[in-house]
Amino acid sequence: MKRARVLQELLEIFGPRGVLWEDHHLLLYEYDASIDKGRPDFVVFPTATEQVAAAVRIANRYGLPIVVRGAGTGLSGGAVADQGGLMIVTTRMRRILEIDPVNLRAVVQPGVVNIAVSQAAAAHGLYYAPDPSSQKACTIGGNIAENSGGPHCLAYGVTTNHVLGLEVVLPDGEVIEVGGAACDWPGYDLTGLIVGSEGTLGIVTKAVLRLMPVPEAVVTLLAVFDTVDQASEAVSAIIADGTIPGAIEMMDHTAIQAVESAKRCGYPMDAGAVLLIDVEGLPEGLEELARHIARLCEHFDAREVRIATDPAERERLWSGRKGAFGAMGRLAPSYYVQDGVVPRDQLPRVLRRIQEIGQRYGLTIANVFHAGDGNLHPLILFDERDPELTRRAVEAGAEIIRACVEAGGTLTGEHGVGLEKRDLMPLLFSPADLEAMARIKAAFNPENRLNPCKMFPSTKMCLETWSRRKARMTEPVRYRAAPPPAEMEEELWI
Amino acid sequence: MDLTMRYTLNDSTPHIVRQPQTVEEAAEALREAARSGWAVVPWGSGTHQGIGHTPARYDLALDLTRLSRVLRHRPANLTIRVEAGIRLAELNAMLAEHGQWLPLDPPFGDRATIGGILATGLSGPLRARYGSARDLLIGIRVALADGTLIQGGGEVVKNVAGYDLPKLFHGALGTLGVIVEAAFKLWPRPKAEATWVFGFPRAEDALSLTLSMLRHPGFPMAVEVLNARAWEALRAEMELPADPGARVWVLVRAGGWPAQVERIGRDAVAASSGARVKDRLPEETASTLWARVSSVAILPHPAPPGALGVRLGLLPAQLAEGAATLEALEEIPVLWRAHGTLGLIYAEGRGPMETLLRWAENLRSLALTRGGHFMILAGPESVKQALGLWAPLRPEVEVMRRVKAQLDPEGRLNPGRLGWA
Repeated sequence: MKRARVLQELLEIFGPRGVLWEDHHLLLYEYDASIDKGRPDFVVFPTATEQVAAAVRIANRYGLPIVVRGAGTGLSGGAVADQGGLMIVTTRMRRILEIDPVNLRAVVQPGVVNIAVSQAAAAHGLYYAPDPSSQKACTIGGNIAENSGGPHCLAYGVTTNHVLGLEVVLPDGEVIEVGGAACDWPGYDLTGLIVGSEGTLGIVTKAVLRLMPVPEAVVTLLAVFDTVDQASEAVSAIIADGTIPGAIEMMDHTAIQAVESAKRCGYPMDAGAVLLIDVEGLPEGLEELARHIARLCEHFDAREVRIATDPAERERLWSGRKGAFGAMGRLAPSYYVQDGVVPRDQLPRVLRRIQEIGQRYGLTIANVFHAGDGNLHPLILFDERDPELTRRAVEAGAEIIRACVEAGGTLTGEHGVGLEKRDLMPLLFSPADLEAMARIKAAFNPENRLNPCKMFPSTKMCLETWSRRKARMTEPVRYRAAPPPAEMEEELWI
Repeated sequence: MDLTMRYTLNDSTPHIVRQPQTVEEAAEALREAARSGWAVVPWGSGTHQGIGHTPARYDLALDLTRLSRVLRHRPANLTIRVEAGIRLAELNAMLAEHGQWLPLDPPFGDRATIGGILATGLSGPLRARYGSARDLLIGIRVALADGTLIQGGGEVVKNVAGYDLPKLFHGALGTLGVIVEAAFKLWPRPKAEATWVFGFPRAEDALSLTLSMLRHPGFPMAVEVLNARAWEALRAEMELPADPGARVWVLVRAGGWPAQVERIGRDAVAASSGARVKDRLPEETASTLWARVSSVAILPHPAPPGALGVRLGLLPAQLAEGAATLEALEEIPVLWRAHGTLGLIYAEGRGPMETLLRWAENLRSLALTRGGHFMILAGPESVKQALGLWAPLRPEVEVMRRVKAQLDPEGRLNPGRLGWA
C-alpha cells in the first residue's frame, strides 16, 4: 500500500515522464562507475529546486532513504542506492543560469555537465578549472558532492577552491543558501563543509562557481624514463625546485602498453614510465620554463623529452592519458581503480610497494595518475565474472590504501569514500574524529535520511539491509506495464 | 601585573590563565574547564580578539603561544605541519631558507599566530594569487570543548576522506574548538617580483585596472586598492609617491619568472589610462610597503574609542559603489582598503558614535541591496548590539547553531562571540 501511495504522490509532482518505478527501468540506476550496486525503489527527475524539496518531503513522510545522482560517473559508490529508497537524478537541472564575465562567476544548476561550464565561458576567454577525467559527462553537482579533482588541480586547486556559494535542500525539505558570489561570508563556512560531503548533508540545487582566465599559452612535455623510480624522482625534483606546472601526470609501463595498443599516441612501447607535464600561463618565459623542466627530467635520466607547443601535437600526447582508463579493456575485462594519495617524496617507495602487492596477489596493476599531487590511481586488472579474482582485486586494493596511509597519505584524493572505502576510514581517523563527523552530520541530517550508510564505517543495520536488498536484486526482473503490486518490501526502507 | 589582566576583553577578565606547552596540556586544560563548567577563550597573540561580541562568560584564557613547534616540514613535498601558536613571521623566516613560504599576509602578520589567522579567517593582499588560509590549509587538529582531540584532513595536498573539517574551523572564531595544530601546502617563492603603483582621480577610474588584473592569466600576486587617507597613512611611514589629485591608489604586485613580471607590469600600465601616477616602486620600498599594507584600515585590538572597523563583501565590479558609500559622510574620516580582484573592502571610520552608526547602517544596506555582506570587525560593543555583528542573517544560521550545539553542547567556547550561538 505504501509503495502505491508513494508512487502516486511522486507522479503528482513529477508526472509520468518524471518518475521511474518499474524494475527494468530501475535496473539502469542501480550502479555508478564503482564496483557496488543497489537498486532504488523510485527514481525522480526534478527540473527545479521546489521539485527537489517536494520529493524530499515525500521521502520524509514515508521514511524513504534519499540518494542523489548526477551522471553516475562516481567511482566510490556515492550514488548507489544500496539501501533502496528514493533516487533524485539531477540531469534535468542542467541550466547555466548566469555567466558573469566581469566578476568571473558562473551560476549553474547541479545537473550541468562540467565541461559545459567551460564551453559557456569560452566566449569570454574564461573557463572552469577543475577537470575530472570524466568532465565530458560528470555533473557539477556530483563534482561538488565528491570535491572532485583532475589533472590540472595541481596548480589551481580542487572543486572546493572554486565553489563560492550553494543553494541547498536540507533533509527536511528546507531550502537554504550558503556562501554566495562575494567572498568570505561571515559565520561558519558551510559551503566548505558541504563540498565533499558526498550527499550526506544536503542536496545542492544551485552553485556559484569561480571562473578563471584561459591560459594564453600551454606547452606540453613528454618525458620518457626507463623506470618508474626515475620518473617519480623527477616529479619530486620539479616540485621541490619551486616550479608548479599546470599538471604532472604519470603512466607506467603497463599503462603505456594498454594506451598504445588502443590508440597510437607516440609513447615509446618499451618505456618504463612517461610523464606528461603542462606548463601554462603567459607566453613570456614559458618555453624557458619548459626547457628548465626538461633539464630537470634529464638530470633524473629521462632518455627523451619531447616539447610540444602546437595544439594538435599536445592533444595527441594528452589523448593517451585521457583515454587510459578506457584502454585498460585491451588488457583485462575489468579494472578496479584506487585513489590513495601520498606525500610526493614518498612516490617511489609506494609505487614499488604497489607492484609488490600486485605480484603477491597475482594481479597486474597499471598506474595512471596525478603525480604532481601524489594522487595515485592504481588500476587493478581482473575479471569480474571470476569471483575469486574479484575478491583478490578488492583485497589488493585495500592493501594499497593501507600502504598509502602508512606512508603518511590518505584513502582518497578525489573519488570519495562512498560505499567502497567506508570501512577503511578507521585507518585514518580515530573513533573521536569519526564521532565529531557524526555530530556534524547530525546537525544537518539527524535522521540519516540523505545517503545513509555512506562515507562512515558501516553499522550493523546498514549491512543487514544491504544483504537483504542484494538478495532481492538477484531475482529476475519482471516486466510490468502497470505500477507494481502494493505489498512489496515496505520493511526494507529504513 | 596580574597575568589575568593581559587577557582582559572589554572589561571582562578571566579567573584563570593556562599556557600549555604541549597539545596534550591544552587538551587537559579543556578537560579541566569541562569539569568546572568554565567558559573558555582561546588566545594567540590577541591581535583580533575584538572580532565578534565580547564573550558573555569568560573564566579561562587559554593562551596557545607556547605551542610553537614546527612538527614536520617536508620540503620536497611542499607541506608543513605546525603547532597553532607559532607566529607566521617566524615560520616564514624558517621557510625562506628553503626558498618556500606560506603565502599569507593577514593584518598584523608580524605578530599573528597561525591559530589566530585560521580562527579569524582574515586575509591579506596575497590572497589574490594564492587564495586565503582556507585554500592553503590541508589538515587541522582541534581540541573540542571537552578536551577531546580530533583531526581532519592530513598532510597531503589532495584529500577527500571524511568531512572537510579544516574548512569548518577556519573562520569559526574559536567557537567550535581550539585549533592546536595545522598543516599547509606551501608555495615556492617567486623567482622575481615587482610592484607598480597607480594613483587615480576616482574609484571608477581604478576599476578598469582592477578588473583587467582579475582576468589576467599571469595572476598578479596582489591588487590592493586604498583611498587617499589610507595612502597617506602609509606615506607617513615610508617614501611613496604623492599626488593631490589622486583619491584612489592601486598597488599591483607581480611575481614569477622575470619575463612574466614585466608583462604583468606592462599590462597594468596599459589598463590604467585614467591614472595620474604610474610608478614602479624601488624593490626596497615595495618590500617595506607590503609588510605594512594589510594592517592599514584595520583597527588594532583593543579598538580606540570613537572608531569603528568594518568589512564589506561585494563583487569586484562593485568596488566603486562601495567606495562612494564609504566616503559619503563628510563628518566621518574613513580609511579604506580593498582586495581589488576579490571585492572585499576593509574600512575604519572615526567620529561621534551616532554618526558612525549611520555610516555603518548605510554600508550594511548597500551590502544587502547588492547581494553582498557586511560585518563589524572592531568597535564598541554597543554598536555591535545595535547593528548586529553581520548581515544578512540568513536561514543558514539555524544550521550553524545546530553545528555549534553538536560540537560545543554546553556553549563554553567563546560563548556569545557570534551573537546568535
